[in-house]
Amino acid sequence: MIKQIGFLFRADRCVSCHACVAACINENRERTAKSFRRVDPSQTTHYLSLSCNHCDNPECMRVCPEQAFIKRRDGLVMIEEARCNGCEKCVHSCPYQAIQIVDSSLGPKAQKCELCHERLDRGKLPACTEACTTSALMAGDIDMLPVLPDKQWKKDLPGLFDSSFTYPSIRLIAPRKKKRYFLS
Amino acid sequence: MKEKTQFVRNVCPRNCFSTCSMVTKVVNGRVIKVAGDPLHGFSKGKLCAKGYSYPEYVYSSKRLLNPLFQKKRGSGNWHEISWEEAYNIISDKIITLYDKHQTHLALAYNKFSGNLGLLHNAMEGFFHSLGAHTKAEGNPCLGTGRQSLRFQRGTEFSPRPENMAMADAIIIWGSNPAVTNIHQMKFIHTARDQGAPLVVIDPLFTETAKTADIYIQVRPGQDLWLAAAVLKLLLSRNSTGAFKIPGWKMLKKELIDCEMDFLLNKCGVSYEAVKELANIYEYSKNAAAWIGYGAQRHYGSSASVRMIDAISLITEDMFKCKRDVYYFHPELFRMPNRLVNDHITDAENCRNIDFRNFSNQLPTLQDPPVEFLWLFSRNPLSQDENVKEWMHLMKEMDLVVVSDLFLTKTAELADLVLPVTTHFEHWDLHVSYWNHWLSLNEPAIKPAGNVKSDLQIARELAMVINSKRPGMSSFRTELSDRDWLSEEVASLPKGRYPISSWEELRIRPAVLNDTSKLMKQADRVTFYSEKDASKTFFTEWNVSDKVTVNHTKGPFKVLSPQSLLHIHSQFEPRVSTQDFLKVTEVKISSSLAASLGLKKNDKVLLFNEHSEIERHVKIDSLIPENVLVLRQGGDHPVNELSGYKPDCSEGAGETSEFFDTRAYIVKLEEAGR
Repeated sequence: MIKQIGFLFRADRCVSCHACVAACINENRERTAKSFRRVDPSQTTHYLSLSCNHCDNPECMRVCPEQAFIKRRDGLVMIEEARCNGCEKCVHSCPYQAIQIVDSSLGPKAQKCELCHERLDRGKLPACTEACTTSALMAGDIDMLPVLPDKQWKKDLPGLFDSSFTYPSIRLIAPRKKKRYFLS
Repeated sequence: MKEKTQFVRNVCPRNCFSTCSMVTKVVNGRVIKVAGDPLHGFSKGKLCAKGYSYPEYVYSSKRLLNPLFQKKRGSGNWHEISWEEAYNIISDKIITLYDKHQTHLALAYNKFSGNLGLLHNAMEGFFHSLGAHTKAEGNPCLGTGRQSLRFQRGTEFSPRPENMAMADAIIIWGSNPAVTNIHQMKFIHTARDQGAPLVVIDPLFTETAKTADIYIQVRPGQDLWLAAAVLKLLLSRNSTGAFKIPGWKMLKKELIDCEMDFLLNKCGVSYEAVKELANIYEYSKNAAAWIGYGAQRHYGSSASVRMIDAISLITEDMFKCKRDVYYFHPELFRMPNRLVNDHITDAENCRNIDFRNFSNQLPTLQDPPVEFLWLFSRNPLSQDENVKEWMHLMKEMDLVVVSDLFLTKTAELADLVLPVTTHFEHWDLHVSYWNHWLSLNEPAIKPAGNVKSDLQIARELAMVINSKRPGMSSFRTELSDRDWLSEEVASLPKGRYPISSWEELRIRPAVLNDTSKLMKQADRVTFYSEKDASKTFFTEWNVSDKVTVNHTKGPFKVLSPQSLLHIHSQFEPRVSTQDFLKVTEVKISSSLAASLGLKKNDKVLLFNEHSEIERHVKIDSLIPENVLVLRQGGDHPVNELSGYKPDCSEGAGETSEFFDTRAYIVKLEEAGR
């Protein structure tokens, strides 16, 4: 692998607007009606916008009996559709719930975010990151992270499955400390 | 076949702060994709989740493509008819009613914000072109706050919302931009990046509240008392301020006379939080306050809005620093609006009916009674108070016409439904009620089926009427859509926007030049009571207390804020993602669930004197104890629980007091049965 492209997520800026989720559908309209991305609201301190994390150690790739998964030299995890038989093993093994089964003319096939690789090839941003209204979600080489004053990129954040299992290619900035005054 | 790809500028016409210009990709006459317009300085090339779903919206299988006639109203027995037949039904009725009454007052329309484009005022222009008629008026959305601020400030002000990025503190009272004004959030984050704290004051722990640096939960509708507590604390620290604002002394005396404990008790906020908020107002150099429309959807909320605004006015004077207040950009009312104004013939004799009381009042009108009702850009059966009265009203009419894209709950009760265009299928011109941008909407595709724009309907109907009764309508049928754009832009005051013709807007949207009229004018500010200058503040402001709640048995306050993926009943049904709160759910606090013995997914009945609706329980430990939170829209929408009775007392404003709706809740079935 010559590099690892992944997602950069500043949790403090995400307001769960779902523009990323809808932009994914807008981009992949001809493939699927369901977004490859979702927003997890389960934490009270922050939201998480999640899709395939193009893991360094992809569990989907490990469990696939048809060897349909490929890890590219730029780090993207792709599915070779012709090999997929829709067995769903990858769907259940992914700790980030990033894979879905779509009924295609060739039968059920696993699909997931492929980081808009065709857009990347044309020098454009992935649709979700381009749509992000607050610049919470970005994409880039995770070994060359942008430097942000007073902030540190992390591999884990509450709400996200432990990174030591599949080494997901996502780097995160934790939300700031906040003051809350609820009704007594 | 060679593929033909075009990119066209469209504008989202929904009732939303942003009014985003968008770039539509059209391949062989079909909308394939939409993207934000990078040249729109407010949305800056982004759309929201609703915006990105427009291709599904345009090609929805539920869209109406032909005029429909219903044999018996409400029977569902619909028949497709031609436009010629539709125009004949309408024109014959208009002529018959005129011959019977020698006036057009028996005709009524009700239109609000389904599409905010300026060319969508065509139907209003059409009614005016006939002469005096009956119509809905007011502003059920934000009227109370607007009235209050106009009174207190003596003018209307609207700083550029992009300027919020330069604030060193942002205080949002009762608004949830993460859901309703998503493009504002980046300016807020820019300010936060430079150290500005974001404070959110809201009864609900909203998406914006979750992002906020400081969140203060306030009892619903009790913002007045929190604002008063902040001001009282600031006064106790800075007693020497000599303010020239009329009414100030009276306000000051009242704040001093009022016990802090009383104020805290009313709003439910701790002294510590009040201190925190007061510090922010005191120590920031450039604090931006945003008064949300949610803060004024309660009875008597005029006082809340004015007290919140007063903190900014007073601290600006007290500490000689900048205090921008954001509420509403009134550009829609400042545009030339030629489509209406060119056709006004007898405005003074029109019968104007308050939106909120429309269904009650319309049947009582005499000399002549209203017999014909046309609804456009409107779905009151899913949105207004008094649903039963609305159903009664629809039954009483001789002819009900609805123009819409879908067979809405209102359309279901019409005789005639006219299918209209989406913004991808017509020309239009848009300004926002928040940002200062002017954008052009070009047709991207041919109209689907036999749909027509409001302007085309107005023009063609006027021609049909005039062919039967020459001169009955003075509608300017000789002007095309583009001619109207040309007239509108040509009538703008010189230099207001940096354009000389509407065609320039095809290249890029334009931003308002002249903001001098939109700023504060110090000499006009007053704190006197709006209704009566001799009245003290709290006698007027006490009205927020009109209804008391039994905290254990109810009725409980029903809150129905805007949801992320819908605007009222628009964008239903959705094909893909769902809102966090489903239309079939009611969210309650864990303590209310415990005291009523309710569990997650239990089926419950919500009821009051107006109606009853079923929902499934969703539990949220972070919402106030005694509220029921519901989403708008659906088969039995929450507005069925809302009623309105005209009230001429001090607290009455113009906005619908939806958040004063109250209902009881009882269990119908255990979850899973």
